[in-house]
Amino acid sequence: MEVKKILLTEDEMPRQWYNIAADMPTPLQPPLHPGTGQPIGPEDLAPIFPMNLIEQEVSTERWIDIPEPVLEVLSIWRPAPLVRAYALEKALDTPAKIYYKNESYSPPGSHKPNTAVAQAYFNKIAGTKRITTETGAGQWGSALSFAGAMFGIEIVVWMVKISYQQKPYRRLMMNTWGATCYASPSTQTEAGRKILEKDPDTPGSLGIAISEAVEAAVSDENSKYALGSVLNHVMTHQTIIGLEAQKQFEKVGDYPDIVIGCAGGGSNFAGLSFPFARDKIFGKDIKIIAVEPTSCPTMTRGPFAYDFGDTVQMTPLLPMHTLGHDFIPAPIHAGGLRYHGMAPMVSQLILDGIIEPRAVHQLETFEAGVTFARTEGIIAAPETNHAIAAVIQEAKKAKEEGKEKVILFNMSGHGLVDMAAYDAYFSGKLHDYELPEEEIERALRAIEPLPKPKVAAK
Amino acid sequence: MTNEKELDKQVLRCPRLGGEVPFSYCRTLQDGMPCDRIIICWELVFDIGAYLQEHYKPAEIQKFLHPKPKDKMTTLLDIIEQAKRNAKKAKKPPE
Repeated sequence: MEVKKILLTEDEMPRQWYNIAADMPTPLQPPLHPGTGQPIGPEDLAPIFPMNLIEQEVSTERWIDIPEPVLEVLSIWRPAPLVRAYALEKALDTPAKIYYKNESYSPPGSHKPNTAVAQAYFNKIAGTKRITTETGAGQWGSALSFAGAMFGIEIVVWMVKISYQQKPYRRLMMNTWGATCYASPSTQTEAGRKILEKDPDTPGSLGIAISEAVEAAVSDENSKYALGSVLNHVMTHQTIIGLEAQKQFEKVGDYPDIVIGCAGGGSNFAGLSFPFARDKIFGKDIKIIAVEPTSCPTMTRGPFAYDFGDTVQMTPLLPMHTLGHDFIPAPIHAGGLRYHGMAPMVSQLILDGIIEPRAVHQLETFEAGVTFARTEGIIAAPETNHAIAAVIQEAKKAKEEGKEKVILFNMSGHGLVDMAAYDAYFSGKLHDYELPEEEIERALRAIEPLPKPKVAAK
Repeated sequence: MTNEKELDKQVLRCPRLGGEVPFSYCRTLQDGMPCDRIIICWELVFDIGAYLQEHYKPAEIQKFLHPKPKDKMTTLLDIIEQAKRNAKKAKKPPE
């Protein structure tokens, strides 16, 4: 029998995280304080984050030690296997070799506890008694709840009310791990009470949930707040995925030509790709693809805008279709905190030509997910299906070109709590959407006066 | 739109929440006004453009489709300041 899973022992787990800030061709600009215009200092973030995590956020050290207690908890499911997708290769009749890092092995079923565990630990040693956070449908909330249980730290989650009511399973996961989960808006905070006074039946929003979680952290000296995506230290914690994969490839004498991850907030993508991006920065020939939906093409439509990122002080401008010829086409900005916006590190690496963005249609992603489930047996999360769709595209291309490409992707999570999305796909309720060409042209004319991005040639 | 109640019940997956939401959620997300992504998400399901023109003034549409963008850190700092004010208010004895 051929080797399917490439495994590492606990002793072989990476002992340090990789911080790509040390090697980025263009260093990240420090964010500026809106009041003073000066770079944000640790004291500005101290009300919500412990100092040890703030230090990581601004660190440019290449390697950051993973504390032993963090490794012990991670060892519940790590090192995660690197799996050769023989059945998928066969089904696609491709000469490409397809490997995936299976992050669905974690107790909450995704990559998110890689940073949740680290954040819970650093809070614990900083003296934090309680961590607050917000969650949409519960993926991040359940990961942090698991991490809190491992370190005996109280977790309080504000879950957007509409999800709280519609998606009981992740809420129950949080409760099982001992966390308190409130439907947001709640009566627990001034922010929540104010909203409820105005509209008791509001379904809530991520913005309100964030306000409640931050207020709860700021109001109590023993509490801090945690974020599961976008921030630099979150990306760094996730690099254990790619660092393990590099060791696993070494074991079998292979190395990927193409590295693929889906990119929402960017953390699972960063986690797999940053160690390989380092190799690319230092001369390796690797294609690194960040996959997003065509319906929200932040990265792929980016060339029309003057940037993709947040903290580099340039906002994402997205050409959009209009309500008629008399309606001025204008860029869309994702409002609020943009937790589903792209991590500044990922954005900058796109601009530097290290990472290549790609958009795929919704129906193609589910088709890919179903193919994966019927070959490799795993039902992937809808987000992960974006990566699988790009893998299939690349595998087919390898077949056309007759090249034995080595493809690696991040199986960032299972979809067992997301079966409603599969149900919508099977019952024909999902649609593809892409900006029509004429609308793009019209929108392009509208943003002509805006400065153009400096995008490296791909 | 002929059947608004039916429309309100239609469901899509919200890329921000990571779960399914009915249209009624999308059209009330920003303080009772629609989400800025409402067109992108609902375009192929029905004529969302006509719906918006029927229900909102052009100035309102401009406002909710183009919320003033702030970078993540700025927004976070704003929320911290707001939270500090709320916490101070909550500590005051009730009148």
